Parts: sequence; C-alpha cells; structure tokens
Amino acid sequence: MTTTVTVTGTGTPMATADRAGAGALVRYGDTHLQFDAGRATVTRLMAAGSSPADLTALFLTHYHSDHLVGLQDVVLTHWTMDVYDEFAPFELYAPNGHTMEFCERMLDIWHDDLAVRSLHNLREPKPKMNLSGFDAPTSPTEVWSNGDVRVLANAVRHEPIEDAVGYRIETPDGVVAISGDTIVCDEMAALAEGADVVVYEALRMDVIAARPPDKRYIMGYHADTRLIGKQVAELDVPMVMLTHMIPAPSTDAEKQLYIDEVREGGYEGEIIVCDDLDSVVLDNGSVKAVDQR
Amino acid sequence: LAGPVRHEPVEGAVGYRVETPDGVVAISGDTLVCDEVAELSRGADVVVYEATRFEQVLNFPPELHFIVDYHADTKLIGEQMEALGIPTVMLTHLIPPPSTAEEKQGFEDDVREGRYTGRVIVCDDLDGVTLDGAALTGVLG
Repeated sequence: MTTTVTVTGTGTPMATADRAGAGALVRYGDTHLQFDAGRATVTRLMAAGSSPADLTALFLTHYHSDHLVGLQDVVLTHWTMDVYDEFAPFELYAPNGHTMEFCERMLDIWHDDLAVRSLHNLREPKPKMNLSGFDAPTSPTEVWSNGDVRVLANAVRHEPIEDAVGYRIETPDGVVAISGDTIVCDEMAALAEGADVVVYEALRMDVIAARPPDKRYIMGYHADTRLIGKQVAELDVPMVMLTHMIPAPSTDAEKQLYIDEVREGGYEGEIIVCDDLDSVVLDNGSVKAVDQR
Repeated sequence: LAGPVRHEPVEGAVGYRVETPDGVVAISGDTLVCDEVAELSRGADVVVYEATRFEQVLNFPPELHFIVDYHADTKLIGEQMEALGIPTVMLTHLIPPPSTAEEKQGFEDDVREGRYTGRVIVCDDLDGVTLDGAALTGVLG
C-alpha cells in the first residue's frame, strides 16, 4: 500500500483567493485522517477525492479560528450526506482545554437547522459524533491507532495559545509529522525525528520584522524559515512541505524566497512550498511521487 | 429590498431585490417558484434563481423526494421568468449538481420547456454578469 499526504489548505487568517484554511489529509488505504479544518476544507476534501463521509478521524491542533472555521461544515456535511443513517459516527480528537470546549459547543448554534432538516430526513437532529479529548502531552504520545496506523500528539509552542499540539502519523509506509502552529522547538523535533515528511508551518521573519513594532507579535509564535531549515537538517528529514505561509507567496519568485531561507538554515533535502492539494506519496519508507498542482 | 419566500418548513426565509442605477437584480434564496419570488423579480434585469430538476429528484430514492416540496422546479422557473419578461436568469444551488456540459444542458432544456426565451446561465462558482444602465454588458463564465 501507499500513504498519501495532501495539504488541504495552505492559508492563514489573512484570506487569499487560492488558499483554503489550514488542513492536511493523510491517507493509507481506507484510513483517511484529517488534521485541522480551516475555511473551505470540505471543498478541498472533495477535490482531493475524499469527503467528510470518508474521514476515519479528524484531529485538531489548537483553537485559532483559521484551523477550526471549517469544522462545523465538515461535521454538518457528514450528517447531511448520511441519507440512510449508515455512516459511522464522526470521530473528532482535540486537546483538552479551549479546543475541546469549542468542539463541545460548536453545534449549539446549528440547533434550528438540525431541527428543521430532521422534519425531512427523519433522523435525530444531532450529528453522530464521538468527541475524544486528551491532555496535551509533554512527549509524543499515542492518541489514536487502528491496525498498523497510529497517531501521536505532542504539545508544541504557540503561546499565548494553550495546549497547542502537533501530530506524528506512523503507517507501514513511513512517518509524517504535522507541526500545527508553533515556533521551531524541541517539542517539534521530537515529533519529526525519523520522519519521512514534515508538514511545517512557515514564517519569513525578515518580512515581519520590517513591520511596525506593534505588528510583529506573530514572530513570537510561528516557525522561522531558517530555523526550520536548521532543525530538519539536524534531524536529517528528507522532505519538508511548507504550509500556512506568512506572507502568502503568490509568485514563483516569492516561493523561491522560502526555499532560499530554508537552505540558509543548512537544509539540503526536498522542499515543497505548497499550494492547496499538493500531495506526497510514501511507499515503504521512500517518497514515491510528488503531485504539485 | 427583502421579501418573504416559500421554503417551508424553514420559517422566515427571504429573497432579495437589489436596485442600483444600472438595473435590478433579484436573488431567490431557497424557495419554491411562487408569487413571492415573482414580486421580487418584477422588472428585474437578472434573477439569480435556485434550481432543482424535479424530474431527476423524483428518480432519487423516496427518502429524498422531500426536496421537491421546498425548492424551485426548473420548468416552473422557465414559465415564471417568461411571464415576467426577465432577460437573464442565473441558475444556482443546482440539484442535482451538474458536472458535465450535458448535465448543464439538462437544466437549460428544462427551463426552455417552461418556454423561457431569455438568457440562461447554469452557473459555476464565480460566474459573473455586469449590468450597465440596464443593459447586460458582460458575462464572465
């Protein structure tokens, strides 16, 4: 079998025409694992050949809106498309704290919609959902497994956000690490150690440093391109997929600046400055294909 | 302007009518073809109309037939738009969603069966029309 990593959204809170909100999909056979659900996640899932109904589980990294704003859409669409009431319950995993609290409350405002649709579809006005919270771990810790696939979480550093996590997905084909939002930190290194692909959020510090002092705060909680390069070089990770890029690159020249800065950090592996739906296929511990849109 | 439309059991559903110096646009929201939409559309240059191919939906399993109770049938849209003399109709919220040119043509054919003679646009996302002094100066497909 193969394992496919697809970035469903490469955007940030600052909207652009071509970038959906944060999200990555990891597929191994029928196992479809989605990480975060930013704006337009449902549309991107469909374009990737998956769907809310196909998701085995969805994992959240933290409670910033750009990672969550598409979540209700995923859950409500899963319910709406379940015409014959035959889908398995939606499986949602989140770190305890504010992220979990969001999940517990997120369907409340859809009460009237669920009730009126129930008049037609004759189903409980309540999406079937299993919500699983876990305490943000201090070392990579398994939060989900099925057969030979497992998902580990680790706290990352996105303060003042509390309990932000990144993930590590292990399949027979290899290891994928997903940073969520974080500074480059030892916690991220622990997730990425031995990984075949790291999906890393990336910020160009030079650009942000040129802003007025009161507009630079994001430097304090995102991942600097050069430090990413240094870290993944030290870890000898063969491939990095950059996402959640600040500022969003819109030309090849702007994309090249991301590559240049990661190289300045000493990295010699493969770098993909991702657009939405860019994918990497892992086969037995090596990258078999890269599908860039 | 807003006007009530018929999307029961949803309560309080409305459609809109937008008037600018260039012309009038009506937007159905979700509704049956009804006198209320006619009221919003009277004299409009463009109507953005939700559209359902009732014949297709009635071939769906019975559990899905409720859709015809509160959406706008393509043929009835054609009849209403022709009666009102609307020059352009943009179809949206398409059920079932057309994915080929042939499936799109099915929507247009239905509207023509309702004897509509104006312009029909079976919309994709970001399709646009431009009005200039009540004349349609551009269609961006």
